[in-house]
Amino acid sequence: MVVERDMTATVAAHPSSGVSLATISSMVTGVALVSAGAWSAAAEKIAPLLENPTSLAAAVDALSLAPAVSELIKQGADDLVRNIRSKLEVIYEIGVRVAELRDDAKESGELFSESSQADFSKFVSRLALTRRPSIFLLDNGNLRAVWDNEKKELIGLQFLGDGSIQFVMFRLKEGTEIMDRTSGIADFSEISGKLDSLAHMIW
Amino acid sequence: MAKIEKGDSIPDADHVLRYVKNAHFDKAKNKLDGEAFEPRPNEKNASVNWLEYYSPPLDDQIRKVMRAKRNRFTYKRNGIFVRLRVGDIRRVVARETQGKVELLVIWVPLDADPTRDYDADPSHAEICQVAAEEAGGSKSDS
Repeated sequence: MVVERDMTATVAAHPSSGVSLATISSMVTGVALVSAGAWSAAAEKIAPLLENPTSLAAAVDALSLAPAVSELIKQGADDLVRNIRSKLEVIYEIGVRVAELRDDAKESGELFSESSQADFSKFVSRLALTRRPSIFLLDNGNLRAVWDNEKKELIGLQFLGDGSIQFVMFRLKEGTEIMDRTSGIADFSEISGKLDSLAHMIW
Repeated sequence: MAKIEKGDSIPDADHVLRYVKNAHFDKAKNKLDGEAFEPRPNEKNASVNWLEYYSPPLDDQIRKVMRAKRNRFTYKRNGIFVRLRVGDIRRVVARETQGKVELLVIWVPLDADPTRDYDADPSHAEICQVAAEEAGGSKSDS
C-alpha cells in the first residue's frame, strides 16, 4: 500500500515526465530488491498493486484540470503503469530463475556465490530491464546474464562478486555486416556506459 | 560404420551427446551457455558420447548411453541432452575463433571399474581443443 500511495503522488506531480518514470521504476525495483533472498517474492507482492490504476485516475480527477489535459495525464499514467508492470515481470522472472539456480546448486553441493548474486541484484535494480536475459550459474559459482538477438549481437556479463563485471559484447557496426567484439572487466558505471550502444537489446 | 580405433577422430557426419545441467540451460529462454561444452571440473576434456556407436533409433541410443554411465554420472530431471553433429562443432569453433582453435572429437571408450561399480562406457568420447597448427595448420572455415 505504501508503494501505491508513493506512486500516485509521484505520477500526479510529474505526469508526463521521464524523470518520474525513472524515479518510480527505481523505487519499485528498489523495493523488490531490498531483501536479496526474497526479491521475486517482493515483486510478486507489488505486482497486484499495479493491476488496478484507479487510484491514479482519482488523483488526476482531484486536480480539477481541463478534461483534455486530464485525459492526457490519465493516458500517461496508464502507460506508466504498463511500463512498470513489464519491469516487475522481468524482475519476477529473474528472481524465479536465480532461486531455481540457487536451489539446484544447494541440492547438488555445487558452488553458488551470494556475492555474485548481490552484484547481479544491484545491477538489475539500477537498470530496470524490460528484457529478461538468459541466466546461467557458472561452475565457479558466479551468475552470468546473456542477452542476444537474431543478428547475433550479444551481451554477456559475469558478476564476479567483488563489484566488478566480466563482459563480452558483440555489436554490429551500423550499416555494415562487421561485428565489433569487446571484452574485459569493468565496474558498474563503466558497464552502464558500454551498454548505451546496445540498449536495444536490454530495454 | 567405418572402422574406427580407440583414439581416432569420430567422423564429421556422426553425432555426439552431451548432458547439460540446468545451470547451463535456461529453459524459459531456450538458451545454452557456452560453458556447457567446456570440460567439467573433473574432466580433462569435455566428455561426450558417440551416438552412432549404438544402433538407432535415437531413444535406444540415449538409453544405452545413460545405462552405461549409470554409476559414473548423476542425471537430473531438469537437465537436458544436447545432440551435436561432429562436423558442426568443429566448423563453428573454427569459424568463431578465426581458425585459431580447432577441435577434435576423439573416441575414448572407458573400461569397467568394478572397484567403483562403474560399467564400461564404450561410446565415451572427448572433445579436445588443439591449436590449429597441431591439427594440421588448417585455417579454413569449412
